Amino acid sequence: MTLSGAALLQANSSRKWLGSGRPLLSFKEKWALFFLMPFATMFVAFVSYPILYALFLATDRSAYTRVIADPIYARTLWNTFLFIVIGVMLKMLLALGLSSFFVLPGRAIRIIAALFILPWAVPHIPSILSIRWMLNSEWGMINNLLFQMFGIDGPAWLTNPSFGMASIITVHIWKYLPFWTMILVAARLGIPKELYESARIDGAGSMQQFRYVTFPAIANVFLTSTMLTTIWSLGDFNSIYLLTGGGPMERTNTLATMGIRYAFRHADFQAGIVTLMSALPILVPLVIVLTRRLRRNADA
Amino acid sequence: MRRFRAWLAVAALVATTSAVAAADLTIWWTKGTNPQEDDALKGVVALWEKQTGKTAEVSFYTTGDTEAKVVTALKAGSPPDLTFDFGYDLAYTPTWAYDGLLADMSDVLEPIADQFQKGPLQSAYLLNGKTNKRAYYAVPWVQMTPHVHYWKDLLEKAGYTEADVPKQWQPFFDFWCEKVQPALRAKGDRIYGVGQGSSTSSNDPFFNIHLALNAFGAQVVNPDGQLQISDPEVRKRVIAALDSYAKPILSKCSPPDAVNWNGVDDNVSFLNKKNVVVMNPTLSIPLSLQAKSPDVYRNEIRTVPWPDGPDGKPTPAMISVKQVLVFRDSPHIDNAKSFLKLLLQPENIGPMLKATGGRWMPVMPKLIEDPFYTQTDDPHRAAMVRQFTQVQNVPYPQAYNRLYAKVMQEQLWQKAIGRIVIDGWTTDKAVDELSERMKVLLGS
Amino acid sequence: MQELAFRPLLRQAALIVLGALILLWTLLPLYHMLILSLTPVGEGFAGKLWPDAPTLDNYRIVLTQDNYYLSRFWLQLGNSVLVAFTSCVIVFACSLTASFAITRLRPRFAGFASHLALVTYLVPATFLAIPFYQVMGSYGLLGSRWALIITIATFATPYAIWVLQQNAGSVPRELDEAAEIDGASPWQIFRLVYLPLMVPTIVAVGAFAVMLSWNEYLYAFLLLSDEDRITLPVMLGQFLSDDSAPWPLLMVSGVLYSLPPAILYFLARRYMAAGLAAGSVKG
Repeated sequence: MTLSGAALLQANSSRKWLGSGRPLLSFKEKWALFFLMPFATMFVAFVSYPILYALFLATDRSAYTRVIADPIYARTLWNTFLFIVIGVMLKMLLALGLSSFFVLPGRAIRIIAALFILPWAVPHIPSILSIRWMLNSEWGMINNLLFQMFGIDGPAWLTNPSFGMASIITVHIWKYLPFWTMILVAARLGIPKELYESARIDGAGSMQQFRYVTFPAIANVFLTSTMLTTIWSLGDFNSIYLLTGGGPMERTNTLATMGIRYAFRHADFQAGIVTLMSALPILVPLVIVLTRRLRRNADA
Repeated sequence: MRRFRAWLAVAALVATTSAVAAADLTIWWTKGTNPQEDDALKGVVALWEKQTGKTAEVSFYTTGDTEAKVVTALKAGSPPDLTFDFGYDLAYTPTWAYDGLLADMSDVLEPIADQFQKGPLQSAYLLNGKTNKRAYYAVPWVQMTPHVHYWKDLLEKAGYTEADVPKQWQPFFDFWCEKVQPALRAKGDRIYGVGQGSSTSSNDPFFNIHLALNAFGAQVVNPDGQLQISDPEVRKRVIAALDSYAKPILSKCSPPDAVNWNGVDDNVSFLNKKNVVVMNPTLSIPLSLQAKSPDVYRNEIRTVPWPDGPDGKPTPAMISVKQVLVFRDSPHIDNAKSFLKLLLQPENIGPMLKATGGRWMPVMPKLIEDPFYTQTDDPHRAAMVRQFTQVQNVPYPQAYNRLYAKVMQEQLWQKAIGRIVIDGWTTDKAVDELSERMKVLLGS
Repeated sequence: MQELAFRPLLRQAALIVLGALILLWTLLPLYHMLILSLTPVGEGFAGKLWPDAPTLDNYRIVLTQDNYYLSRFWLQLGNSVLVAFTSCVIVFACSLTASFAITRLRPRFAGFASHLALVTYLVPATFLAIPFYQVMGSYGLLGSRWALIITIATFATPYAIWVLQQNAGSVPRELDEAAEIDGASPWQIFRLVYLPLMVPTIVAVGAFAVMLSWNEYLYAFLLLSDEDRITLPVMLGQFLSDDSAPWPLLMVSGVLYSLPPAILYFLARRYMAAGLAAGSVKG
């Protein structure tokens, strides 16, 4: 079917191509249309339609009142802020620091690097549930060891709101740190060796080499990565849902889990969308800036 | 040619995934706490399939998940044909019936109405706001009331006997917190006195808090459906009840994770002896040990009457009637009805309920009179029957005002406890917030 | 002299400590998963660093489906495989064609198409869960594995297009031109020139698509219902609501479920690293 369709298309367009008048679409452009068809169909049916539907749901004005009147909403905004600012900053700084470790030569470091990637390669659900069990304040391994060794009741890692947020951020970092570290390692390995050599000849120490050679060379990647991970962290549902479920009493929700909760526990799709849309003031500028950056980098 | 065959294989594989079986009856049911419960339902389903020659598809979910799936499917216009969950009667049925979302089950229930107890039957006779008429918009099938359990062996390990357990409300709870817990801890056991759940992700605290409210005589909604929480006397009692409920949590007598327990975490914690006392709306806790450890089941876990209220009167049993629902938009309403007719025949539902080990009470007098319930030597089931027969039975406020369902949906009571135990608010301030929201929800 | 010998030693010691810390941090949750999977079912609450009597019996129970929750283990694992495989096929079908059109045929609307892909790539999937549920309902796909397959393909394709686009530059344009002079149609160039030369990148995006699919929990939970059609993560989520809490069995399933992506990653590591570096954030 596709082949005969392609042949037909080709026959048609070649005729026009040979003809005198300049066609609306060139021969290659018609083929390009044909090749873009699968993605275009997917885009229209499963990207633009849902987005339009979401915008339609967001036209319900009373939903805004419902969401803002909910005492949990302010807390959720604050949690999201903490999650993004602390989670992303800590994660990217750690990634930058660890990348210095992983660019070092040596077999041992290669092996550690291979193991280090595991949290990212292992699926979310078993690993996060394992941490949930481990951090259970009553029967988890951590608190049991604390009780055995020091005779103390360890903190309620998951059910005290502050510890809960801290645990969520920790799990998020555990899960995604390897990915961004490897990105930065890849970027650092791409820096020409000669730059370091000349820096050394100029008498630069390791700190100065980092400051004057490494960082300028990877600053671009670092910034892009930080923006990317900010966007994706806004959408991190699993680290929260699987760890605390947003509890205790909804104190550890972020916009992502709160929006899903409104929609799928309270059957309030409008409130769910409105909650998620509160992230748009951060999301939209980031997407615009990133699109430009990535395209510019790609063209360069 | 080889490549062609490879593509053919892919296509065949893909085609098998697209086969969404169009069953004649789709059932979404909340998982039992043991496999026998689910098998019992499957047994009736198989019988129905055999009798009608039609196909049924049963999906089991955990309790919060059934609600979530149904609530969203309903919104998307694709509800199942038949569904059961613990939360429906208290959080959804009254408002769904009013909004005209439920199918009229009158032709299932009316012919057999005389087989039901009056109260449970009445609980399904609901107002439809669209037609302004009442009809049976739900099918009652079991009823339940919260129970109190404790570990007798832990009590004895702490150096006390069953006779030492006080029978009055506050002394009862204080006993576990101030006597038993310290005694156990002195022996090096990391055990808490009372498992006081208060999470918004479970319905259990809703049941237990209402039982406490009733013990304190705090009638938040009167039988005429009026919200009375602002009445000074009622408010005083509400505050006293919440203070009493929050006390074990504030005094570190309840496991710290109890503020975030989901539907079964209370069971898990108690069964693993992390706390000595627990309150639960069915007998699921002891029953999960019945087969595995019959001796523990009979001799170590106790199911006892609730302590008497502060006024010295027996605490009423709060009864909720569990319902099976069929939706107006369900694709096979007739099949759902034919299945329900079969299910409700005493020779089917009777054995099915027994298969749960007597986790809850039937709603048909004929079944309740069965020696399985009336002459049992099972300590837990006997205690449950006494709850139903020897103390006053009271419905939840939803019976008087359908809008109270929203109070459960929003888990306002648990949130109030959260204000007290997490945010450190005074009970007074927490009740202010609670009252304000309740007034909005109930439109008064 | 002494100081010079001392400093590298100190540095070496610091590196060893750092490496140990990294390993502890990385492996602790995985170690916990492993030891819990070896703990007898009744003792999951002991919270021990190493079980008193480790057993492999849990693995037998899971592999033979000898537990109520796990009675469909192989079927549900099969669903996961099926969803991953099929969505991967769709990702290939959509992204290879689109990237070929954008980078080799270079129509006037290439920039527009690539822009759309990029923007879609940037939107967090969670944010579209609500409308996606409704949209799948309106297509009559709720409950079908197709709904999940399409969802995963939709979120993986833009990334694949982007990475392929980045790497297409490594295929010399002269090859296209030579083929064109020989009278090859764009379809033939696609099949005979573009695809074979892009194989390393194809492996990378395929691996990413499979891993994305393997990770999916939220959409799988929302879109699938029947026990026979759910993927393994949905079943694992149900353990959260079982009072007998056979968590050691949950962890066994978790270990088994973690193996395929971990193995896949190590097999495709070299390709994926290239995909990462070039695609996701090219400096």
